[in-house]
Amino acid sequence: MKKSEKLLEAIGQIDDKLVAEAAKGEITPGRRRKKKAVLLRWQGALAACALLAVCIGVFGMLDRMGVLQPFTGGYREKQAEGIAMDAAGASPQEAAEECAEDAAESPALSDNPAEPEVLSQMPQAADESGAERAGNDGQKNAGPEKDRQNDLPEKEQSISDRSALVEQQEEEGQDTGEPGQGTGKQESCQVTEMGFAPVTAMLLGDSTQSLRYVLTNHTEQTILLQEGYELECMSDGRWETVKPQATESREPSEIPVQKGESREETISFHDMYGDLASGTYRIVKSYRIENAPEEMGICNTYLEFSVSP
Amino acid sequence: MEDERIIDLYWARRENAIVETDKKYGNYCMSIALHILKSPEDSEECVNDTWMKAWDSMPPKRPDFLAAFLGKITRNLSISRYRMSHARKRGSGEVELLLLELEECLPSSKSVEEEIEGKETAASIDRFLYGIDEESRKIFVRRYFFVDSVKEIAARFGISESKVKSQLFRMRGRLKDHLEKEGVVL
Repeated sequence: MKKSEKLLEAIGQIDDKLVAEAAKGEITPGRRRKKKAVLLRWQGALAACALLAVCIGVFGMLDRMGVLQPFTGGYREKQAEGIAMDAAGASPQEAAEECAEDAAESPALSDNPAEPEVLSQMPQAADESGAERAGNDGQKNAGPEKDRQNDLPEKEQSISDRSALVEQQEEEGQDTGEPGQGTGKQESCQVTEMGFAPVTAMLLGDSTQSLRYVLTNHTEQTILLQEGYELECMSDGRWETVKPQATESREPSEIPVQKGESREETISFHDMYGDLASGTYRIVKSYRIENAPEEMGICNTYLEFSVSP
Repeated sequence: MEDERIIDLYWARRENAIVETDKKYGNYCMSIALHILKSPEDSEECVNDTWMKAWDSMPPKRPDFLAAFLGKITRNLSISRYRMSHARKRGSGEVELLLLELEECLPSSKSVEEEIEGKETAASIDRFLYGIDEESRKIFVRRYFFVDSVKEIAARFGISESKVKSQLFRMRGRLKDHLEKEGVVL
């Protein structure tokens, strides 16, 4: 008999317990545990993915609601301003000239030609970007906002629900992403526009040479309002910066505005810009959140008005 | 019927013991025989021989694991039959076939020394098998006792065929070392 045959025969005499164990032929509990462990590992990975998706969703939702704007607005502002610089093209001087030409072609906005007419005080979201200024969204913001103002007592113009405004704009087909308006890059700013305005401006009085308004800090932090302002003019559906005729020699400083507080200011734009041609304008006021990280950058709020011929 | 009851029937010399055994373990023993012989007719004969041998063995034996006890009988009978049929096929002459047939008539075809050696080897294999993990042990027994194919083992335990092969390869090497270490000479 061969060795292998002997071994085969010896295996035939092994302990009955071993034979009975193998005869059952079931998957061992240990192996089952192993399979379960593998399953659990996959379940864990899936749960982590699901959690990540939920987090992204919540973050997006909060961003749309504007809750994160004080922390993200400045950054977007910087980004969008970079885009705006590319998009704007024309110099401020050219823009002012274009603005004057446009205004001459446009119908009168006020019965009193001598008085600048406030279309809306546009207390826009602070993170509304430079790209928007360079873009054509000024007009679309103006219309619905004006309607809102009529409904609000005492010209209260704080926009607490920008999403409703955006919805309204969309219904009216004023989406900046519409083709042919040269606003492709502005889509990056649309998200920020949907939040509420952390700092709002309300017009108190106006004349041909100055504007009086009040700024309110709706954020939970102190804001540092920058002295000075920029003037922008609506031209071909875009906001163009108007180049001042004279420049201020003093160093720009920052004025702290505590949370919930308001600050009244008067701008005499006549000194810097001379007589404004008829058209739609807006004042750009910049501020930053105190103690906020540098990457948050500068945020803006806007006050829109018009000058009729 | 429970194994204890079936064994009781054997001890009581009740003929329905075989009927009950066939009912419970017929397929199981048939499967073992088929794996070795690959012939349904030969396998059926082997299974019938198993019942006869069980009838002869109980009493005096009272196995703790009836399935293992019957499986062993079927396996050993099937291997003997396999040898016989192969001897016939090899054409080594009628003499070898006769010798194999006559082996069955002898109380034991092995010498006392061979018997003891066989038991020692089996005990050594037991120690080896108890020393390895349960899955490997089952795979080993399924392969070398029940003569299952690698494919069947893989399907039974839900693992790949290559894993079964590699495990068996490693176990053979370890068994060789183990037998050498224990001084088992075949």
